[in-house]
Amino acid sequence: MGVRKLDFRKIRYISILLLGIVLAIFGGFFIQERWGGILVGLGAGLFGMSGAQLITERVMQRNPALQKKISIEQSDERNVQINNYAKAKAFEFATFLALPFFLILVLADVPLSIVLLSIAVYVADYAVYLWFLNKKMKDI
Amino acid sequence: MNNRLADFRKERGVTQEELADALEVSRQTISSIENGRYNPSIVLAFKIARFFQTAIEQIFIYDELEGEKDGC
Repeated sequence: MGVRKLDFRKIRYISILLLGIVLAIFGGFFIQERWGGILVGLGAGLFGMSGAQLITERVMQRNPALQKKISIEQSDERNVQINNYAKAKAFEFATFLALPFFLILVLADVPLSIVLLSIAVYVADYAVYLWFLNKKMKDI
Repeated sequence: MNNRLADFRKERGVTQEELADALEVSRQTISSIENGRYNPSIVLAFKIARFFQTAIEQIFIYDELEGEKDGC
């Protein structure tokens, strides 16, 4: 009693926030180097993401009604179904979009390594789809 | 699938908002079910039937012709 339960999510976000600050400051010393810029970008990204999450959690804690409403909206079966439908359509669209994209890369005389890398990403994406399809076929 | 959810709800004097809160779904889901735009999962159908203390088939009416059209 009286001892506040450790909120591991909060601790994780604070750790990421601090890591972001450290990376951004460290990167700032080497901003002339390419990796210095990457570190600043990464640090700012981590800082922004975890900071926003902490603020959101604080607002939620003060407003349980809002927290419940958002939780219901997120887990609502119709919303989940709509979201999954939209994701499936986006995947289908990306699948068709990839083919003319590869053609444009070839016609634009882009180095072969870039074309092959793009195709590898496309194949990996499709492999993930087939893996999950197979997994679900076995599971249900 | 046809349903009599709106009739049951109005008979009991329950608003869409209250029903949605009790079933922990969004109000839009209740509205879509009532309008026949969305068929609920079997779990939600059971929850609805339990809320009104009746059998599922009293609320949801399976029409074979409609079912074939929907691919059910």
